[in-house]
Amino acid sequence: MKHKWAQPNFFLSVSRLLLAISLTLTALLFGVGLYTSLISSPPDYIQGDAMRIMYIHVPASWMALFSYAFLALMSFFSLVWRHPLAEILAISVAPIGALFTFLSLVTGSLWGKPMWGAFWVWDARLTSVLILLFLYVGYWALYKAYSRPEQGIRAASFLALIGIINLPIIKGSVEWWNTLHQPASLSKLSNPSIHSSMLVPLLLMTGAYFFYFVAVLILRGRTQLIKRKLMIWENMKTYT
Amino acid sequence: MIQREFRIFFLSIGSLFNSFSFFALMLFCASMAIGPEEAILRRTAPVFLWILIALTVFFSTPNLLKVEEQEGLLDEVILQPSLPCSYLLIKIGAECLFIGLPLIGLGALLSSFFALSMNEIVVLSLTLLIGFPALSALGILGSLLTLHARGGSILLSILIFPLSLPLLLFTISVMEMVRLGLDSSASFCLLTSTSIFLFIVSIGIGSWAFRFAVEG
Repeated sequence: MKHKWAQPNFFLSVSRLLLAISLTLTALLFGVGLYTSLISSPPDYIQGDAMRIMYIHVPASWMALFSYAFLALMSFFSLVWRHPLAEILAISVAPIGALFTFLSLVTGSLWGKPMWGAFWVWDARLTSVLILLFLYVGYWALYKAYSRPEQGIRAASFLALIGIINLPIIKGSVEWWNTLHQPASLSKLSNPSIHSSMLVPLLLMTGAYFFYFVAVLILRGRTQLIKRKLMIWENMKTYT
Repeated sequence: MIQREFRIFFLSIGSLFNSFSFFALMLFCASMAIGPEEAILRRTAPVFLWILIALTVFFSTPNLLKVEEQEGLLDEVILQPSLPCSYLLIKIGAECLFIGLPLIGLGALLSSFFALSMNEIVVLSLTLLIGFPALSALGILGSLLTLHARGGSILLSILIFPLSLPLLLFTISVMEMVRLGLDSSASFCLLTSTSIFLFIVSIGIGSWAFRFAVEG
């Protein structure tokens, strides 16, 4: 891949601007999103105010899945083209994805307590998201189990690829099994089964999560890239 | 190569015996802890059998590959013009034959202690037979990935167990249906298809990861 965007130095130079943009967007969207979702949007007519957890929970789950898809894609790139930037992005995205998954599980169980009467139910959706968390943990454990990071990244990339099979299971778990978890409200983009006064804050929060994701990804990616440059530089110093 | 697997098997019966006795011992410990109530035993037996068989596979597979790697056989496999997946297939076949079948037989024998009816034992053994190739293939893939890593078999279980969970879930639903006397064919088909899918995917990724695993 000789593409301009894929050059590490280009990434370093362009990412500073992108980081500033996405940080401001994160702050802005979180501000507006939190205000509209927690204060100005109407409460649900069955669930009352407890339903406002949705604005935290649903974007976190979406981003957890998105992060895994991104991780798998980057792992594929790094295995096929051996591109250093893909490796760095894959390593950077794993903890963020684990964070989103954890957040989704925690808010989900906080929401489950008033709605289902229990923090945790062993239904298909919850279990498969828990597996997703374990996949992230396993990815990180395998990466750390090698003394040389290049080796660790490659081994973990294979694991990330096979872990993709969990994504359709999570997506389908609500429809395939009889679960307590409610099906997605946004399955069809043209005609969502959610009113716009709730849809707008939800989308705002999703945007906020997304730009938070981008900002942290860039921050971690830059750190990893500089660390790797430093490592190579120190290796060269020991050889000469 | 198939002849070679048979020879290895006859030479290493002793070490295989270890994993069988691990399996039997753990099963007895579990049943002892649960107590003599038949209803609970009947419900939990399939779960214990499945998890223990998976654990036995995941603990014993890395050793198989470690020995081969020390003998230098894995390097030989890379040097050959054919893909490494034939080697993996033979390895999995040998594991199913020499570890899987005895384990499943042992499990069927011991599950009579769990107050399971004849019908349930047959169905349980059938689900194990269907699921075992996938378990074995996942174990081989995991031990390829952790061949040069620190951590060993605990790490392997962390990596692979989440992936084998669908098999366990479908088996439990099959057993539940059988216990209630309902039609279990839907869960059975799902179990079979998941097993085949996992088997194919892990062999594919395993042969892709082979060169990396051996050369590091």
